[in-house]
Amino acid sequence: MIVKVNQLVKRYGDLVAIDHLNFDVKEGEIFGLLGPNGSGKTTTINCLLSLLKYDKGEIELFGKSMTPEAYDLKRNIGIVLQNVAVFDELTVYENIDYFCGLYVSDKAKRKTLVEEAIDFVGLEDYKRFYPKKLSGGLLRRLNIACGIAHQPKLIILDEPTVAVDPQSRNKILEGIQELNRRGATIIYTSHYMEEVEQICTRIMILDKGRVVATGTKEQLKNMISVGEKITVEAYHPTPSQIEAITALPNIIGVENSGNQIVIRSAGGKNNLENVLETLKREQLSYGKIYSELPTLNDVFLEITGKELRD
Amino acid sequence: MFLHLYKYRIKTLLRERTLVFWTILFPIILATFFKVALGGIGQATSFSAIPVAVVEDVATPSQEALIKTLQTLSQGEGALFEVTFTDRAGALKLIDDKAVSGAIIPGEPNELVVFKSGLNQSILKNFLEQYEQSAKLIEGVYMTHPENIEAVIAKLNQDQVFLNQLPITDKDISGMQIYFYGLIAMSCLYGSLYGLEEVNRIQANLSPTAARMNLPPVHKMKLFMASTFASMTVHFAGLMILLLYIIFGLGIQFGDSLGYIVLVILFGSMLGVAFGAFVSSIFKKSEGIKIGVVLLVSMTGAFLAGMMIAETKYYIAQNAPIVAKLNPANLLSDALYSIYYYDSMAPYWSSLLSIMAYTVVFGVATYFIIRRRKYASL
Repeated sequence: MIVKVNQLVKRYGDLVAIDHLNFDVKEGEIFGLLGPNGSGKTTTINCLLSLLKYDKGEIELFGKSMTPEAYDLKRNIGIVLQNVAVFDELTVYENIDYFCGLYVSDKAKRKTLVEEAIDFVGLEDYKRFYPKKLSGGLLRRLNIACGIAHQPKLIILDEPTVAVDPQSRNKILEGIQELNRRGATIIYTSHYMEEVEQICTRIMILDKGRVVATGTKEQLKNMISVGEKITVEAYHPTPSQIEAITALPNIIGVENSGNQIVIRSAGGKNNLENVLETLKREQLSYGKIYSELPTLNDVFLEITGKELRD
Repeated sequence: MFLHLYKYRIKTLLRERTLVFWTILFPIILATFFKVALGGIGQATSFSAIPVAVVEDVATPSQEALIKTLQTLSQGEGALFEVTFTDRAGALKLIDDKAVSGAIIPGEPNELVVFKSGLNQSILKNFLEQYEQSAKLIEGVYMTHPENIEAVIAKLNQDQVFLNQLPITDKDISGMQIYFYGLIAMSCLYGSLYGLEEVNRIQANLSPTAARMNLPPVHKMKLFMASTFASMTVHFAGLMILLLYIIFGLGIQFGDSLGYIVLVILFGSMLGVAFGAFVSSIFKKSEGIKIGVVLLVSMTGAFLAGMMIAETKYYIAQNAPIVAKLNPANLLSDALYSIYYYDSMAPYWSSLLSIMAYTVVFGVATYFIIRRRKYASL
C-alpha cells in the first residue's frame, strides 16, 4: 500500500473540513480525488504531506508514518500544487534544476533528470524563458516539471489543469498517464469529472469532507439507479407514442419537450435497441438520436442531491 | 546541497530588481546627493579674518592702545581682523556698503557700529568688551599695586584668545563623514528587506512557493540558513560597493578607520537581515504590510538616531535613554560615530557588542517562531 489514511479529522474552528476520512492508494494506481470546491481535497493533500496539522487520524506513506521530518519518505514524493509555485527570477531550466536539486545532489544525474523533465512536459523551446514570459498552460507544465523532475514513486497533483487551455490540458493528462505507465503511483485531485473519469483507475468522491463513494468509474456508476440517457429529436410525438416508450422495460422516465424526447433508463441491456424498435413500430419519424452513459455527475447528483459543480 | 541553495539564492536576489534598487542603487544615489549638497561643508568651517573699519581719531593714550591692539590682531596668517583705518564718515560708508562687518570708534567709551547681528558682529562685540575689561583691570592694578603690573599684563596676554580651533580627535577626518556614516547605517538596516523575504520564502502559509519549499527532504533551517547567508552576502557586497563608491567615486576619506567601518558594515548587515526576518516571522500580515513595518521601524529608528537631524540623537539620549539604547539604528550610528569622536576604541567595541547581541536575539527569536513544521491552516 502506498498511501493509507485512517480516520482523518481536520477542523478549522467549528468547521469540520475533513470528517473521519478513510482511504488507501495501491501501487500503480491513478487515484482520483473528486469533489466540488471546498469538499476537502486540498486539505486532504496538505495533511498527507504533513504541511497541515490535523486533529485526529493516522497517515502512512510507503508503510511508514508521515511526519515533516520523514525525509526518506519525502524523497519519493513529487507534488504539483494547485497554485503555480516557481520562482519568477529563475528561468525554466533553473527552476526545474533548483527544485530537483532539493532531492538529487549528484550534479550529472540531476542534469539528465532536468533534461528529461523538460522533454516530458514539452518545454524544450522555453528553457531560457522566465516564468512571466510563459502562457498559463506552459506555466502549468513548468509547475509539473518542477514537481516530477526527481522521478518520484508517488506523485500528487492538486488540480493541475485549473485555468488551462484544452490543448495544454490534454497534454497534461496524457503526461500523467505516461508517468503512471513508467511506474509512478498518482493521486490526482480535481473538480473536473471528465478528467478524473478519463485518467483515474480508482476514484474517491468527496463532499463536505466526507467520502461519498469510492471505486472504479464503472463501480461508481453501478451504484446509482440511473443508467443510459437516450435523447431523440422527434417532432410532436403523440401521447400514445410517449406511452409506448414509457412502457418499455428499464425505462424510469420520459420527458417530452415537443421536439425532443429524453428517455432515462435504469441500467439493463438493449435499451437503445428497444427504443429504436418502438419508434419504428409507432411510426414516429425522428432526426438525431443519441445515447449517453451516466456520468460521475449523475453519481454525485443521486447521492448528494446536488450537482458536482454547485 | 548548501552550495546548491546558496548559488541559486544569489542568482535570485541579483535578479530582483526592486530589492537591488532599494538596497544597492538607492544608497548610491543618496550618497551622490549628499556629496552635491554637503560638498562645501569642509570649507565653511575654516575661519576668515573679520573685515572691520576703525576710526583713526587718536585723542587719548587709551584710544591709541586700542588701535595698536587692533593692528596687532590684523597681522599674520591667523589674523582675527582685516582692519581698514578711516575717518568716521568713511567708516559709516563702509558699513552702508556692507564692505565691513562693523566699525570701531575709539572713545570714552569705545563705540561699535554694526549693520546686522551675526557671528562676526558677536566676535567684534566680545573683543571690545574683553578689551575694556582688561584695560580697566590694568588701570586698577596700576593705581593700587604698580609693582604687579607686568605680571598682570603677561597673564592677560596669555588669555587673550578670541578664536581657537580645538581638535576633538587627532584622526584625519572631517565633518562630512558623519553624514555618510548615517547613510551607511541606514543602508545596513535596509538589510531587513532581505531578512523579510527569507522568512516569506520558507513559511508554507505565506505563499505556494514557500509551501513547495517545505516538501523536499531538506531541513527547514538548512534551507533558511543557506538562503539567509546568500542574502547577507549580496547585502554586504552592496554595502561594500557603496563604501567604495563613497571613497573612490565621491572622494570622501575615512582616514585610517576603514577596517573598523567595514566591521560595523558586516555586523550591521547581519543585524538588518536578522531584524527583517524577526519582523516577518512575528507579523502574520501580507508582504506589503511587513515591508511597511520594516521601513517604518528602520526610518523612525534612523530619525531618532539623528541621521536626518543630528540634534535628535542628543535629545533622545538625554530625554529617553532607553529608546536610544533599544534603537538598533542608534547602535549602528553610535558604533560609526565613536570611530569619529573618540581616540579610545572602547565605545566602538561596546556598540559593536550590542549590535551582535541584538542580532543574536532577533535570530534566536526568529528560529523559535519559524521552526514550526506544520501549520494550522494554509
